[in-house]
Amino acid sequence: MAKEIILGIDLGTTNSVVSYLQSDGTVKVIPNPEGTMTTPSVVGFKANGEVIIGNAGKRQAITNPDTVSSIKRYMGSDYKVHINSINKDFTPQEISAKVLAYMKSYAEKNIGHEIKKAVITCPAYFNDAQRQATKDAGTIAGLDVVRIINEPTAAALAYGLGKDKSEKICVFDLGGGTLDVSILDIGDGTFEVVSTSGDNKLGGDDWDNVVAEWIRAQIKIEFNQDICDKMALQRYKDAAEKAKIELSSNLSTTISLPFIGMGANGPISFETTLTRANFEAMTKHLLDRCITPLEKAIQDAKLSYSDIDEVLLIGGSIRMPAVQNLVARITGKKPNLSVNPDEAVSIGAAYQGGILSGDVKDVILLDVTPLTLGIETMGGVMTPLIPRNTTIPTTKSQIFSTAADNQPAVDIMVYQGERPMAHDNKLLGHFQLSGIKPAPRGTPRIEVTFSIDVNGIVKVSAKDLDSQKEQEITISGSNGLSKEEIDRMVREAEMNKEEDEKRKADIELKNKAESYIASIDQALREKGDSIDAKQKEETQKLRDELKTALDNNDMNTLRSKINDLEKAAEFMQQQTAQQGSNPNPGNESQEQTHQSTSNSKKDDDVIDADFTD
Amino acid sequence: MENKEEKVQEKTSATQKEDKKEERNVEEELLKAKSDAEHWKNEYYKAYADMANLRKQIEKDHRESLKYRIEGFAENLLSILDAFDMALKNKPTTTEMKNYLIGFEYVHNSLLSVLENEGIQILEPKIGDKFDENTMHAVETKESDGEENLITEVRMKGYKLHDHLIRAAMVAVSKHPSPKDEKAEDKREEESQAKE
Repeated sequence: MAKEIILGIDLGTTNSVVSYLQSDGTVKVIPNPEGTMTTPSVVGFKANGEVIIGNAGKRQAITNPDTVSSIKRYMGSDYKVHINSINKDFTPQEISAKVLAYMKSYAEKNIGHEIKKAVITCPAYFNDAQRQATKDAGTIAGLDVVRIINEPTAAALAYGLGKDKSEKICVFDLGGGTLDVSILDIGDGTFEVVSTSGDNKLGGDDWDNVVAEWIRAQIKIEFNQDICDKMALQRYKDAAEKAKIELSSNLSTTISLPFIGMGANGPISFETTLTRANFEAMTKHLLDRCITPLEKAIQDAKLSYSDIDEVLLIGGSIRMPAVQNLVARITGKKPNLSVNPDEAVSIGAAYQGGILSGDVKDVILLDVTPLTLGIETMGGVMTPLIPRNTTIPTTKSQIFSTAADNQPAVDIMVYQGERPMAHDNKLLGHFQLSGIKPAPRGTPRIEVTFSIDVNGIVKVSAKDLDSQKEQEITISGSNGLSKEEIDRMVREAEMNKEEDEKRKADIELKNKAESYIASIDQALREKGDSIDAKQKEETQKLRDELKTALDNNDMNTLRSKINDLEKAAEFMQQQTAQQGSNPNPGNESQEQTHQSTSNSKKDDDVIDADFTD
Repeated sequence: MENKEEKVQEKTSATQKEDKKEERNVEEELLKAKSDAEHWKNEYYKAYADMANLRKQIEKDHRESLKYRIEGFAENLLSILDAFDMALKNKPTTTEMKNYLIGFEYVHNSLLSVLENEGIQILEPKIGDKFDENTMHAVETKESDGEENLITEVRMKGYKLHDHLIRAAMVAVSKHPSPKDEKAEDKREEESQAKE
């Protein structure tokens, strides 16, 4: 059982988000009962005492004058909301508490038990009274608020900053209705807000409104009619928002508004294309408004852009490429965007909760294998046993077989790397398992087990499941590769991918051909007299043609002959019903975990044979 | 001789002392090893328990995401479904047009039944129904002296997938005229819209 869960809550002006640190060290954002990750910070009071919060609160807002939104703007003030229906005054913290209590309850339902503690975020510019009010809201909601942290600090935590080196970072937060810019000086676990700036009347909604107005104007031009009923206005706004979102990933989008109104000739339907360039041109004045707060924050911090080590973009509206480009152009830094911008603040608060509960310290950082580990199989192919990025410790087994009839031993060649041909990878070690009883190819079952312990030491064992003979090798230097070497190996694999795939396909084709030839030879040898002479002759001919193509490395002929031969082989296999030849030794594999490896026994009856698997 | 004996005795007691010390050390080490073993046993079981719990949570999330797999798709279909509703709302003036509309109506019905088979519920409140914020979104109020909070118009149908509301039905709702508060209310309405 992990330590006590501390929720991380982003209590926003418009929307709020709740998350928590899971026992594996990752943060999970908790969806509300309607399935969305963000919950509107809206509270509606009904005459019967019922309180409606979140999405439902927003939907009933205009029917109910006792609906409160954006209460965060009044936190810490003497302002009170009078609720007519129940004739009662509420403080901003009491309203916020309703939102927090709602989030607490759905978080508890999701996690499955009661939660008592939370870390709540607030804007960096909040004063003591505003912070105290935020804390009080949590207390009223039944939460022990273990810490109030700044929103930009939470964002930095979400990005994993502030662990070791000290840096100066700029957090640019453009939400639905506000822009906040903060400069932080972080290092050694401390986060100091050096300066803040912003525009509390600039947000993504402004971009939507510009596009909505443009649509309305276009319709007016095209149909000579201003369609402006409430319904149409709402549809313009929805279409504008949709277009804005699409233009974040596409260069142009189609705005389609069928049956938007009625004209003299029946229904009016409108459709147009909006390009990203056009969209950016019509909203340029909004983008320009982002520049001043950014400059002011830098000036107030008495820094220049070159002093900034990292730029974080949060808030849903930073998804617009124009905003990202603007910040990159001004700061000269490529902004960091890897954390979901709507959830970053809550995620950071959850990390802070984890640090406070001691969970973060306790998280065991498990290593992963930097490169794939495998063995060489027939034709020099690399057969991976443990793919790269597998978390260790781990154990994996697979069953292999022999490549030739009566093969007395198999060589286990252990390789590390991403290339499909074993010889292009790094040979870590090899050993031989001998004493395999004479049997047709593909019949013996040899279990190869790879295990990597917590220290990264690789053990490879091979066991003949018939004789129970076993051999193993321990490879210690497998993690001795430098990061550069690993990167180079991964890069090379990427570069040679196409060629390697082709080579591998050719080898597989050859392996297939060889195994078919062997099967047919065996079948002809054993049952040759009992089958139809004509059929026998035909099969023999196909087999010879295949052999010639194989010897001449003629891949095209080989491929077409294999098709013919597969029919013949099928026929032969019907004739030799009990023949269980396995064309590809690697295919008869099965995975087993927890395969324990016993100490290798000394083989008394070692058969030394120069046979390569 | 005596001397020697004494020496031996001395030596023995020294060795005994040494042995005792050794014994204590071994004992301490044993205790430490025992507590270490206990610690790692706990950690080991904890790791298993964590894994089991994580698996349960992932299974739950997976079931949930399967259940709601068409949610995004259905959301993208909304504008098309709305367009059908808006087209079919028109009263045709000619028989030919009427026949076209009947055809479209059939296409629309087939589309809806496909969606219903996938678990989509259509929320179609009736005029005069009581407003319900769980399934409806009030987009406009209409002044009326009659009962408050009744639906006066259904602008767009709503759609629900199991427990998730894909979109609430967009409705207009009745409201008593209140000339006194009108200004304040308008302001509030504006404000809440601006902040949305």
